[in-house]
Amino acid sequence: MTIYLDNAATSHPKPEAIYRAADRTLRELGASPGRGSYRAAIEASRLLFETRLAAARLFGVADAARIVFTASATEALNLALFGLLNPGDRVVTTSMEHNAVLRPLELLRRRGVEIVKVAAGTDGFVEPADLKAACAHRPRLLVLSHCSNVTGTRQAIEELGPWCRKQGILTLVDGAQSAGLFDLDVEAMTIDLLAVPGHKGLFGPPGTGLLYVREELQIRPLLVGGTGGDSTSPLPAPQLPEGLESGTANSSGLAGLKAGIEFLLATGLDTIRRHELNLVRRLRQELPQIPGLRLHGAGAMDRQGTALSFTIDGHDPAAIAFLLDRDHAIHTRAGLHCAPDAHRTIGTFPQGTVRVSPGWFNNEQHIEHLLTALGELTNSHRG
Amino acid sequence: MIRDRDYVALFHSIHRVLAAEKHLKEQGADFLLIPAPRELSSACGLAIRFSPELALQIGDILADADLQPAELFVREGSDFRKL
Ligand SMILES: Cc1ncc(COP(=O)(O)O)c(C=O)c1O
Repeated sequence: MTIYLDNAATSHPKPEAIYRAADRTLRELGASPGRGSYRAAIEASRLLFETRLAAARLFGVADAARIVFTASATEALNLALFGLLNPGDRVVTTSMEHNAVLRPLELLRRRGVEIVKVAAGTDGFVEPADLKAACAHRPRLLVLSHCSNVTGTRQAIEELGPWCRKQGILTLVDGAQSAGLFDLDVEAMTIDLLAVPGHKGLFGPPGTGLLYVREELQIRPLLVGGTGGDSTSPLPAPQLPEGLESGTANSSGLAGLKAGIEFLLATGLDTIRRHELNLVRRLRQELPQIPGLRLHGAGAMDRQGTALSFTIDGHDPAAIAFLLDRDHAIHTRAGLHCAPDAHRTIGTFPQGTVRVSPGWFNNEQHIEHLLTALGELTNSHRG
Repeated sequence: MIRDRDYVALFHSIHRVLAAEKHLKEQGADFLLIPAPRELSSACGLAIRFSPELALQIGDILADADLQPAELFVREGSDFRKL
């Protein structure tokens, strides 16, 4: 039996209802949402509509029309950044971002957008005061991840969101590692744009994601084409969600995502969080007992998400992950995790770390197996 | 499907027309979700039809939910008159 500890990449396995919903939709629903007005087509449209309502409930969004489906968090982040920013705009971000933020920003920088990066501490936390200081020159946008995909560190969005709103600065939050784990209420946290993958904490299939766009915020589409709507106008009508969703929707994926969000809502985020963070707490306690092991996580449990990194002196992270897989069938992820700046920040560039990210379907035995395996591995490879 | 003097509401958004449908159902209103008549260029292919006696009630329900139609028509003979 394999032990999957790479839920930060994508959650696995999924609750049974997700497989069933995706399978049933692919098998039985022969129609494309928004295309046609026969009953199956309306049912396909309704499926999207209901998935939007479920997502709106999860993120505290009053008008579900402000939720735009994408193929991934990467697409949602690209849509937000390219849809919003113009040459001459200023953006403040952090040194903990994923390439899904860094690379669009780099392209935009080459087109005349000014980027300011605020450094985190070695615990991955960016002091709100430092971010506020960097925002003194009134940028258009603050973009940051809620939780790091390397250390799991959770940023102080609850403080930064309201502050930015008062300053007239827009906020884009990368919820890739926190959606489905921590409460993300766009109203309470005053978030203007929220990018979320469907396939991680929301338990949906790959190929799903979404962007929340606050009311009255108009952004340009990333893709234009057929919307199923008024085909005579040269461009899609700008209204949400259709105006930002050209092309045939991923119905089976979204059916799975709907089932995933329903699972989350029925189970309760607090229940999921308690279970997953208990496993992470155990890791934080026990991993440092292994000789030579250095933990790279948040400063304390109250800022810790479900991703956690470590390195072991004298061992290549890639070799550790390889041996865990080959000898123990434990799946972890070594390297830079698409976040080179984050590794520079915590001092693990360029060799990277081994990342462990437990999920809902992991249990204490999995963690014990990992700890035992690491104990053996460091013993047999010493000297 | 559309009788003389029936109202036809267009929303120009598949999301909004389905939101209107859900809301009207919840309020127990009498209406029908129909393919938008070809003569009325609709941006989403669907429309909501109701009879004239219900126009006020349905108008209020939709306004309360911030789901006003983008366009409203009334059937007159073989034509539609825009309201
Ligand atoms: C922090 C962060 N942002 C963005 C992404 C991109 O998400 P996706 O794989 O859905 O494009 C990931 C995960 O890969 C991530 O961990």
